[in-house]
Amino acid sequence: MEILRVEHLCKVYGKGENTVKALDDVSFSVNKGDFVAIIGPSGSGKSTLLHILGGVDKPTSGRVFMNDSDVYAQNDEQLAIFRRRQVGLIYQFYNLIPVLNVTENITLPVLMDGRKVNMERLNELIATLKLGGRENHLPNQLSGGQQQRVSIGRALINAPAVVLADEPTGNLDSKNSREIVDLLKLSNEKYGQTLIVITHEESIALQADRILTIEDGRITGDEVVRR
Amino acid sequence: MNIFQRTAIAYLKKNKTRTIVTIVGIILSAAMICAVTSLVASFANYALETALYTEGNWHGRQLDVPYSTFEEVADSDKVEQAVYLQRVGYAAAEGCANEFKPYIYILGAGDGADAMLPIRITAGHYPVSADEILLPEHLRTNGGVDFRIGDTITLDIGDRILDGIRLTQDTSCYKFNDSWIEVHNGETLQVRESRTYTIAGTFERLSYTIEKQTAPGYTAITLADAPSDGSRYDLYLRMNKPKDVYGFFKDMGFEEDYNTDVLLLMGVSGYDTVYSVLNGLAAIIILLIIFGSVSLIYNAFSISVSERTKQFGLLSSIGATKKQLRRMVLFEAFAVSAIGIPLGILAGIGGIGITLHFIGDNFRSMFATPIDMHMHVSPASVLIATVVALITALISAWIPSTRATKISAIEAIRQSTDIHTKAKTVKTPWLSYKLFGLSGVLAQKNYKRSRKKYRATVLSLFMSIVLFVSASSFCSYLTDSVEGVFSGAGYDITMHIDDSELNMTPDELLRRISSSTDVTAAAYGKITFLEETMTKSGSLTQEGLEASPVYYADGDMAGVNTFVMFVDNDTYVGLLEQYGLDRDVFFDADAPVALAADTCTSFNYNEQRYDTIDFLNSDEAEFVYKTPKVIEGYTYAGEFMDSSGELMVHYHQDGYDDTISGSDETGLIAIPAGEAYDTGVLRCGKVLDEAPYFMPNNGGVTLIYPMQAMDSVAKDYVGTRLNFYITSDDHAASYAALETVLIDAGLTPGMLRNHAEEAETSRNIVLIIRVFSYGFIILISLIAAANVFNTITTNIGLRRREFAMLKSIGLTNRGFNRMMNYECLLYGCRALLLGLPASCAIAYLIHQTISGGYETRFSAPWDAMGIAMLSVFAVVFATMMYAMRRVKKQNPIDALKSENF
Repeated sequence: MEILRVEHLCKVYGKGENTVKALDDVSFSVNKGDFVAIIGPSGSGKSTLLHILGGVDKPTSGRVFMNDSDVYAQNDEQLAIFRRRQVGLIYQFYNLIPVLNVTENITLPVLMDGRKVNMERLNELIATLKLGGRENHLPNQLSGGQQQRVSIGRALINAPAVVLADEPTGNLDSKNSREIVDLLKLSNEKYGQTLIVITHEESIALQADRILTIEDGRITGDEVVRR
Repeated sequence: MNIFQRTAIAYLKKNKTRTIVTIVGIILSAAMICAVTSLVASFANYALETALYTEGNWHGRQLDVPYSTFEEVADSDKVEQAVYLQRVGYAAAEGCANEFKPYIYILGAGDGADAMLPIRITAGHYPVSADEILLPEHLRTNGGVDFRIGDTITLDIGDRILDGIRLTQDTSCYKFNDSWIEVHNGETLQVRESRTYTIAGTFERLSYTIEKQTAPGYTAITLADAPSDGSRYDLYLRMNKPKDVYGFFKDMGFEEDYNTDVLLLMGVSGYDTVYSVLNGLAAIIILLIIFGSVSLIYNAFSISVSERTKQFGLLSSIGATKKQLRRMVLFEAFAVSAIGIPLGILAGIGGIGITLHFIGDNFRSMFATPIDMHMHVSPASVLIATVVALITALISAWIPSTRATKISAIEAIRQSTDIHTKAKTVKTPWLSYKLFGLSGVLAQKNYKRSRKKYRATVLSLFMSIVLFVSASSFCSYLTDSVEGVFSGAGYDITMHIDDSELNMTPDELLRRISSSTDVTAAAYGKITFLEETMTKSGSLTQEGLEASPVYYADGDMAGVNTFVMFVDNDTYVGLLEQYGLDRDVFFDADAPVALAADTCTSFNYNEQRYDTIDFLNSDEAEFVYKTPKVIEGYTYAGEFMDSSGELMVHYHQDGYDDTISGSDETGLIAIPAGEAYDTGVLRCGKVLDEAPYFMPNNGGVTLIYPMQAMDSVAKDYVGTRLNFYITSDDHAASYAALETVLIDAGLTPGMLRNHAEEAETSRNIVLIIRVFSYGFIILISLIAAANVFNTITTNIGLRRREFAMLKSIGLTNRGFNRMMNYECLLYGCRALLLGLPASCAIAYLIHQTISGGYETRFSAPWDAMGIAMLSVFAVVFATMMYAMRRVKKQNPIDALKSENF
C-alpha cells in the first residue's frame, strides 16, 4: 500500500546567476512499512528532499502526498499538526530541547497536541531504547548515543506515518551507530514503521529494503536490496 | 502547566542572569509607574485635604434662609449632615484702621459647625455659650484692633441698611463714583440690640468662600441662640453621596452655591481641569518610563527569542504551531511579570512613602497650609500601575515573538536568516588596522557583519543618553525657574510705610522694632533712582563700563545706574565707625560726601551662574544727574507726552490732589522737557567693601547718605515711602513680635513682608523638585544601564564559539582584550554620535516649552552630556569586562562543541 508519493519535486535556491537547483524533477513513491535508504554525495540534495518530505521546507514546485493527502496544500497551522502527527524527524545532531528531560523530550509531540501520554507505549519505548533509569536526565547529562536514542523515541512516540532520519549515525562511534541502526530496524520490523534514512554508510544502506541514489538533485538509482 | 509553559520556565531558570535582569527591569518600571500613580494619588489626596482644611468639609450651602428650611433639609435622607450659622448681625469695629472693613460680623454657630466649617482656633477655646465670642486674627493684623482673650466686649449689633435694604457681606460699604473713585455708599448701621461677650479666643480668617476680600465685616463666631422665626440662617450641607448635591439643590430650589474646590478634588465636579493637568503630566512621565522600560524588556525578550530561533525551529519541525510558540513567549512575560510587578509596586509605594516621610512637610510652605503630604495608596493607582507594567511587559514580549515565528522551520534550524553577508559590507578602513591591528579589524568586521545584533546595543545606549540628558535638563530648568526668584538681599523682614501714616517719629518706631524679639539689626531709609546719571569713564571698572547704559553717554562721561539711599543717622554713623571714616567729611548735613555700595549681583543667563560686578575702581567719584528745576510753590509730577507728541514735564501746584479733582486742569503747569531740567552733582568718598544688610540688590551704584542730608541732596526725587529693613535670628518669632509692635503703634501688620520665609519657601520648592527629579533621573538611568548590560552580556554569550575559535587559532589574551576594547569604543561612539545631538534637540524643545512663562536663555546641557559620555563608556567597558571574564573561564574546546542554543 502506498503511503508516500512524490511528484516532480523541484527546489531552487537563490536568484539569477546564483541559482542552485537542489532538487530537479524528483518523483518516487514509498509503500507502507518500507525501509528506504537515500544515498548520495554531499550537496546532492538529500537533506533538502528529507526536509520537504517532513513538511519543514517548502518545494519550489511539485507535490508530496502522504496517505493520499497533498501535504503542501495545507496552511501553516495544518502543516504544523501534520508534522506533529504524521512525521517523526531524527537529526544528525539529535536536536533535543536542552531544558527538558528525557521523558519530556520523548513525549513532546504528544504533549504539544494536548493529549495524554500513553504510558504503556512510553515505557515500552524507553525499555526498547535502553533509557530506563535516565527518564529524568537532561540532554547534556547523556552520551551522544543516548541522546540519539531519545530523539528516536521522540520520532516514534506518535507512531507517525513516516520516520525521516538525516544521517542519524553521522555523529556517533561504530558501536553506538550499530545500536541506533538496530533500533531503527527493530521499529520497522516490530511496528511496521515506514522508514526513510539518509546515510553515507553503505553498511546501513544495505540493511534497507530499497536504496535511492541522488546526484545533483536527480534520482539516478532506485534499487531493491536483495538479501 | 503544559509542556510549553514547562519549557519556558525551564529556560528562564537556565538563563539566570538574563532572567534576573529582565525581572529587575520590570521591577524598576513597575516601581516607577507605581511611584508616579501613587504620587498623583497622594497629591490628589493632599489637595483634597488642603481644600477640606481651607474650605471646610461641606458640599453646598444656601445662605439667608429661615429656620424651617434647615429642619426640612436636615431630615432629608440624602443629607449626611446639615449645620447652620445664625446671622446675628453687624457691629462697629471700634478702633479699626481699615476703612474698607469697619464692622465685626457676628455669626452664631449651630451644632456641628465647628467641625464642618474651617474654623481654626489659634488661641483660647471654642465658645461654649452664646455669651462667648471668637474673634478673627485679622481683626488684629489687618484692622489693627487690640484685644485680649478673656476681656469682655459690648457690641451694639444691628443691620447695615442702604435705601431701606438690608446689606450682606457681599456688598462692600464703598462704591465707585462716576470718576471711578471709591467713595462711601452712605449706608447706616441700624442697631437692634446690645450684647456683651467674653472673648473666648481667636481664629484664623475664614476662607475666601465664606469671607471675601471685599467683605465689610470681620467675621466673628459665637454660639447660635435658640432657633427663632425672626432670625435668618446660612445652611451648610454635606451629602451622603457628594454627587447628589447638584440634584438635591435643584430639587430644593437652592442657588448653585457649592464647595467647588472640594467637589472638584473628590472628582464629582463638571470641571476637571485640575485632574486633567495632573493626569496629563503623569501620563507624559509614565510614557517616558514606558519608553525606557519597553526598550529594556523588549531587548531582553528579543535577545532570548532570537537566541532560541533554533529551538523554535526545532519545536516547529516536530509540530508546534506558531500560536503555541507565541503563547510560550507570552507566558514567559507573564512569569517574569508575576515576580517583577508585585515587587515593583511594593518598591514604588515604599519609595514614595519614604520620600514623602522625609520631605512631606516641605509641602506646607508650598501651599501655605500646616498639612503635611502623606502617602496615599488608592486601589486605582495600584491597579493602573499593574496594568500599565503588565502591558509594557507583554508588548515587549509580543513583538519579538511574532518576528521569531515568522521565520520558517527550516530557516530556523539552519539559522540561515543570519547569513547574508556580502564582502563589501565588511570592508574595514585601513586606519583601524593601523591603530588596533588585526583585533581592531576583527571587531569592526563583527560590528558590520551583524548590524542587527549591534543595533540593539547601540539603540539601548542611545535611548539611555537621550533619557538621561533630557530628564536632567528638564529638571534643571524647573529648578532654575524657582531659584530665579531669590533676591539675594541681606535683610529678613521689610516694612514699607508712607510718611503720612506714621503717628510717631521714624526713630521712635525704629527703636521699638529694634527691641523686638530676636531682631539683630534694623534700619530705615528712603531710596530712589537718579535719572540719567553719568560719571567719568575713568572711574568705572571694565565690568562697570560693559554694564553701562549707553544711550545718554556723553564724551568721556559714561552712564551708570545710580540710586541714592538715605538711612537713619545712627545706622549711617555705625557704618562710618565700621569703616573708620571721618565724621566731619561724611556726616555733614549741608555738603555731604556719600558712601557708595557698588557690588551688584545678577544672574548671568549666558553662563548660567550668578555674576558679581563692582562698578567703581576707586573710592572717590563724581556723579552728574538730571534733576528737575525748582519752581516755587509747585511740585515736580513727571514727564508726559502732550497731544502734539512733545515731551512735557508737569508740575502741580502745592496742595493739588488729582485723586479727587479728576479732570480738573487748574493748578498744573507744563514745561517742555528740554527746558525743565538742571544737572546736579553728587560725590562719593568711600566704596564699601560689601553691601550693608539694608541694601536692596539694585543692579548699579547706590550712594548712601544720612537722613539729615536729605534736604540738601536730591530732595525732589525722594518720595514719601519709608522702608524699614530688619534682620533676625528667628524670622518667624520676630515677625509675630513685630505685628504686635505695629498694632501698638496704630499701624496694620499687613505692611510687613517676610523675605526670609519667602526664600525658605522657594528653597523648599526647589528641594521637592530636586528630590523627585533626581529620583526620576537615577531610576531612568538604572533602567538604561540594565538595558545596556543585558544586551552586551548576551551578545558576548552568543559569540562564545567565535571567541573560542579565535583563541584556538592563536589570538592572544592581549589581542583579545584589544578587540573587545575597540568594540566598546565603537558602541560608545556610535551611541554618542546619535544620542548627543538628539538630546540637545530635545533639551531645546523643553526649553521652548518652559520659557513660555519664565525668561531663560537656552544653553546646551553640557554637564548632563559630560556625565552621559563618561557613564556610557563606564557601563560599556564594565559590562564587557564582566561578560568576558565569564567567557574566558570556559574551555575553548567545550565552547567549540557547544550547540549554541
